[in-house]
Amino acid sequence: MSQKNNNIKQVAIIGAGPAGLQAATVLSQNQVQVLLIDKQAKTGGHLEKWSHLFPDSRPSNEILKVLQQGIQKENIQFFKNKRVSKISKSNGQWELGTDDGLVINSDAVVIATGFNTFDAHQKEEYGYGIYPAVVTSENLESIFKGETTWPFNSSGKDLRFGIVHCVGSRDAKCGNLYCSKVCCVTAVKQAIELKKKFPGATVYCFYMDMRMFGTGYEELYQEAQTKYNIQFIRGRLSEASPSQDNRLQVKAEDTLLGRPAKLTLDMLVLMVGMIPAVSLEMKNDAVYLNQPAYGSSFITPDDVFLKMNHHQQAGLFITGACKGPASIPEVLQDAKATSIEVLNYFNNKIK
Amino acid sequence: MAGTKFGFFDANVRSINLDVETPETIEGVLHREPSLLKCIGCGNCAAMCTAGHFTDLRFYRLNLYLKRGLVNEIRKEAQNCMLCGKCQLTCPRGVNIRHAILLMSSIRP
Amino acid sequence: MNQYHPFILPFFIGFLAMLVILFVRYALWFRGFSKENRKRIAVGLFTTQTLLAIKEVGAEALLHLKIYRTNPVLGFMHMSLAFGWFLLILGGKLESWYFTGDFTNPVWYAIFLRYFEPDSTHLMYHGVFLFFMELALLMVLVGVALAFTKRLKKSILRIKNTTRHNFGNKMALYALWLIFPLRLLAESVTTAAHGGGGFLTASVGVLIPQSWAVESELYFWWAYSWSLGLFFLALPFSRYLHIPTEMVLIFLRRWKIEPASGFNPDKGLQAFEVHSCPGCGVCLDVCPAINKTEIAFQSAYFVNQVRRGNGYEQTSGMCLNCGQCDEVCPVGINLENLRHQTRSKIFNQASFNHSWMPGSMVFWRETTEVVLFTGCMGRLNPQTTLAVKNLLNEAGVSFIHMDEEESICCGRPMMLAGAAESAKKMMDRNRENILAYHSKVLVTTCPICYKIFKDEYNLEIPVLHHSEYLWQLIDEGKIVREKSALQLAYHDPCDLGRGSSCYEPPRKVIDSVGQLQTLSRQREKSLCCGNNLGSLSLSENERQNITANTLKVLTLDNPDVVVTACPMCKKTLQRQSQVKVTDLAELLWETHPSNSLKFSKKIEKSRFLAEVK
Repeated sequence: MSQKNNNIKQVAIIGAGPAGLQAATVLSQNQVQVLLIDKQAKTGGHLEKWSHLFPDSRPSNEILKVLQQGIQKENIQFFKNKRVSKISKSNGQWELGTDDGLVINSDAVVIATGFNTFDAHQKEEYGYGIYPAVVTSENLESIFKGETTWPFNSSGKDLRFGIVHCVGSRDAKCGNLYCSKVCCVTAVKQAIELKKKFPGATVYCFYMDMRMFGTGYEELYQEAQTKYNIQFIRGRLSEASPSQDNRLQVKAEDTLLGRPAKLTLDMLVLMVGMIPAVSLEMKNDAVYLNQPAYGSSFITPDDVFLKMNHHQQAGLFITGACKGPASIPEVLQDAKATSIEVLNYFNNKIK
Repeated sequence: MAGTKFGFFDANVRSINLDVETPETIEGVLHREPSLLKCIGCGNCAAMCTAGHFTDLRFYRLNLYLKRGLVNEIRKEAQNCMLCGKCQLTCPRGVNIRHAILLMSSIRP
Repeated sequence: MNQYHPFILPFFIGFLAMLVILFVRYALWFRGFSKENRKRIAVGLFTTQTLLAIKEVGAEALLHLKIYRTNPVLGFMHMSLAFGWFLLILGGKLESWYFTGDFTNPVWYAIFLRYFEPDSTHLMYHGVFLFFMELALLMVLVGVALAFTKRLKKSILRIKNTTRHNFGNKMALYALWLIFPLRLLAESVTTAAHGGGGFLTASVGVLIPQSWAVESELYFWWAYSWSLGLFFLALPFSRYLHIPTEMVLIFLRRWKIEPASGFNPDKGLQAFEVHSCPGCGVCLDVCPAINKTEIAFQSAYFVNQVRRGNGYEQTSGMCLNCGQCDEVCPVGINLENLRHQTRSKIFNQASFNHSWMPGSMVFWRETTEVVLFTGCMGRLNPQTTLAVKNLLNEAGVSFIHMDEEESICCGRPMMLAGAAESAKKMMDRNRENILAYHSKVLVTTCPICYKIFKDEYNLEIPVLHHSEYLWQLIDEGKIVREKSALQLAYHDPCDLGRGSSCYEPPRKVIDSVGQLQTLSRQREKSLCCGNNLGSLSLSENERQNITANTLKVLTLDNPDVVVTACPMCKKTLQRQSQVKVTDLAELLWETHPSNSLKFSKKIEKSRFLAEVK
């Protein structure tokens, strides 16, 4: 690997999404040699796929640009298209092995593998993959970015959209009991964006509970109601099917009224939840990064109060959404906190 | 309405009295089907329900009736169920709805 | 010739007590038979059925051929105990008859013959008798040794789970274990004292000093007699009641006795059924839920609880009704029916009212070839429904999808909950609707619906599961596919396989597009997906454990796709599987030349994910 200078410490960061990029930036600013590894050819992770961000509709490009500029440094090396499958430690040195046989050595490891989105095919009754008018929140962002086209006649009048919250989240049947946390506010954001694009459209949000936890979120929710007249229905969808005029026929329950509802839509957006991207397994003193199976959990920190960025061994750090659903601002803050922990580790301040 | 001279006349007050102790019959149902405690009232069951398209049957509401001690309401709605199990197969909290319906509709006031 | 000694009393009293108790119990159960059933007994008694029953008693109660087929070692254990003992009784009787020239000698005389007649060398062919009797004894002893080993170490008998017993059963069990070793000892000591003996007793007898033998001989005969007496006394109150009851049950079944509806384990056929369960545990190992639930509810336990009259309230509702235990039960107890009856008793207060059901929604339409029913669960699998419709169009078959908008449940889930009356009303309404279409054949994509349509609806038109109909279309050349190299594992849905004996059509459909894998649990032995509507009270966790295990078996040989033929199984397996799970209709449609490229990409993706793991 790269030349080894005893005074310069090396850190390997697995994942070049917002968390990985932010940690790489801070660590390189502090004279640490960064080895940034990603399974894809580009940096940016999911941020790269997003058009605008909540709560202030900031173009995600702006944030991404700042993060990508942060890694344009000599002491950062980017390994693209590499999937790390095994991490092991001996004599204080870490060794990372990839699927294609590459070995990378470092003094510390930061896991910033983030999340995957839930596979909406699993909720077959919602018709994803069967009816083109059914899309995921991720697909919708790529439509917003202009990378894909609207799955309906966008010049049509009286367009009607439905947004389903909690697809694959808070669902024990899908193996994910947790709340993905960011979908509620994403749904509100996307509903507003749809109304901005199609002012004459009607947008229905089907929610279980509205979880507007962050700064400015509740305000956004209120704006969606008052300024954009978005309809919030507390209830679940049962199924989608084609209607007579080739649109979508949707059945749902309105729990606040206690009555079933039936509506015809031009597009149905499924707010897919976050699921872990890797599942860690300790075997023969090595950590294996496996493809998560049904019900796999996110990576657990050693202590949710005091060791939020540590995972079981000194020198092994975890950051960002690999620990569970998180928003971009939270992830960026967490990556900075992780960087301090890594520096402290190098300065022998923590064991 | 005739009644008391002072204060409230509460014959027509609709409030549920949560001060009374939970009847044993209800405890019994919860004991035999503890998954009822997991319900979050999301409405998935009712959305799935064929009987619910024709009648008042709403399982999430039955569960609330049960927990609030409104035994009389349960029967009226539960009897419409066909036990087909579509709701149970998709209940996001894994409530054993069919068993719960059988237990609930067995309650005698 | 002395034919009496006080030591026979424990045996004789125990034996008599058993006869009296059995007589009283059976008489009470017999009183529970309806008039029709009593008539059936009277008529059946003098038909060839009686002879066939005798033959069956020999095959099942003595030789235990059914257990032998499921588990040869376990079968051999039961056979050596039952058949060996039978030979001892038969041989003893013949021997004593030969000795005395009197057939009507006392019961105990034959049993304790070796004490009364230690030396038989003066009789012709005495060696033949001796050899025969000691061979039978050896056979029983091997059985006892195996039974003992089974309790110590189950794996030797290739079983994973054995039943656990209460005090009464244990008493009877220990008495039974002692009987034959004590007989061997008693006979050997007598041989040592007085000479004679066959290959077994003589060889043991050599080791015993004669003087000691003469002194202590009687103690052994007392012990032998006590163990027999205790066993016989305990028999009517233990699971060993199954020995005589099973034989009676075989006759009753041959005479076509009909089970009474309702739960009544102390009357009629149900009494004979529940008391015929030997608790052999064959139902344990095959159960898909074995060791996967907090409380064991398997049939062996359940039937025991029914006999005791408590505990079944909890276990009855847990069972998935997958039919696996019914399939292997060596006694052939109708376990599913028993469970339904307990459920209808437990929930007898629950009542349903479906007067809201919409009437026939049929207006005038052209008569179609097929009326398609996709059922409640079908609504959760639009992909399957779409595939079936595409395939019917491909084959040029006219059809109408009768429950496209709303479906009334077929009634089987209601039936499985024990509410047969309410189920009946739903069935009547559905039957009306189905027949109103005047189609030639009813095709359903749901095995749950299929089973009840076929078994209970009495429709005037044929009922086909979509696998059967699709195979028919392939066979007629209306759907043509090229066989590919795809590795396919097929999951038999309970209600389609064991429930309706439909094993071949789905396999033929799958075989026409790819390579059907052979699985360790398939056809009659296939595992339940974990969500069979038969279970009322299994928790979500327990169900998921069952699903995980079923998936493990299905994907053992790395199939490209797991194929099933039930919307419920598909939904259940799909959620937890790393490998693509699909209905056979989807498989058939997606392997259509215009779709197959897209399909292979989908599979590649799922394979990749599985391999990365």
